[in-house]
Amino acid sequence: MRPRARRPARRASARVRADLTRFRLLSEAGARHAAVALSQILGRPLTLDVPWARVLPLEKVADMAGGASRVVCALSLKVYGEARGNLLVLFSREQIPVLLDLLVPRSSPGRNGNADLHSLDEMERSALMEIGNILACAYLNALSRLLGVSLLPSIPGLAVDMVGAVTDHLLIELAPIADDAVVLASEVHEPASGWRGEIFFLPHPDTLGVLERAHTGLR
Amino acid sequence: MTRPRSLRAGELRVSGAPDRLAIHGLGSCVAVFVYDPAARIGGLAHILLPGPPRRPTDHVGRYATTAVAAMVEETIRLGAKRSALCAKVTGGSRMFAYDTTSARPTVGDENIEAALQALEKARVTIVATEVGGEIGRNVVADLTDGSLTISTVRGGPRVV
Repeated sequence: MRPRARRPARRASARVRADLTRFRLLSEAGARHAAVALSQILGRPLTLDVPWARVLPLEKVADMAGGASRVVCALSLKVYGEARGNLLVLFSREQIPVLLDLLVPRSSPGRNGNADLHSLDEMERSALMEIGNILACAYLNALSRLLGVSLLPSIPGLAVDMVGAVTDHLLIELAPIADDAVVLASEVHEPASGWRGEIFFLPHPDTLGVLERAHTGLR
Repeated sequence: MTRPRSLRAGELRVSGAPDRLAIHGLGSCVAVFVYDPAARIGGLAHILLPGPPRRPTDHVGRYATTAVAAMVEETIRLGAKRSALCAKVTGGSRMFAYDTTSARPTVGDENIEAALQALEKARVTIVATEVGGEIGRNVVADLTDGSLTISTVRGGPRVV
């Protein structure tokens, strides 16, 4: 018989809170890697903005990304492997055409900032999903290397909708086991076009210990 | 008109006319609105999970089973009649396509089912449902007339 795993405390422990500096460094390393990958695809330099790591009460998770009503393009991935979790790449709906123009330039105008999922054609959708894939793989790769564990992303799900609607599956997943979410956040920014993408990693509470191992790899 | 009071995930609130209660960005979560048109008393719940909770100490508002029961009880305590209560249910979307790769029902589907069952168990008549799909919803429950206004990024508002 397998021994029963001890459930972690529902509130993030003092130890987790003390580890937030380490988590921020992980977040920064992941986002730096993601920015490099995307800048190679776009052929333009990307900058990295203010990475942070915080413990948020579940009901405030939507606030991490500008509040429940903000309309965004969201790419959501599950993270499997030795450290599980959820990865979310978000940017404002108005910036969908900005990113698409960088990726698949087209001569005629016509893209507007009010796109929803149904107004995007197949190529535009797969271009956005590809970006999600690349950012997620690069991000997780950096973490894998620092932590010495494997982290594998699922294929991304794509939605253009309100932050509340694209983040409530995170709360649903965490609510039975935790009252807080540990959030690693960072932003990549393409200065010429003004495009700005936000990356959020929410490690699963059961595998937070794996991230704490970053002690050895980080200063 | 009063500004709607916004409910966070897992929150439920019971009040009377002329208040309005709102949920912004409802995805796979479910909103249950119960209302007594005569007493003009009602409540809205922003439910995360079907339930029941594993521990009695868990948040009442997070689970369909406990949220509906608590909300019905509270409306009755404030003067509503059980026989007059009617309910409207919305939400329970599948927000990301990867949810479709599994044959299992999504958590949105389970939330809808649990909310409807809990209402049945509480003997509350369900008068409107607008559930499922792949879209987020903003909802505003008006305790003056019992209307539930739903809007999405694709359009609206629609009143049910």
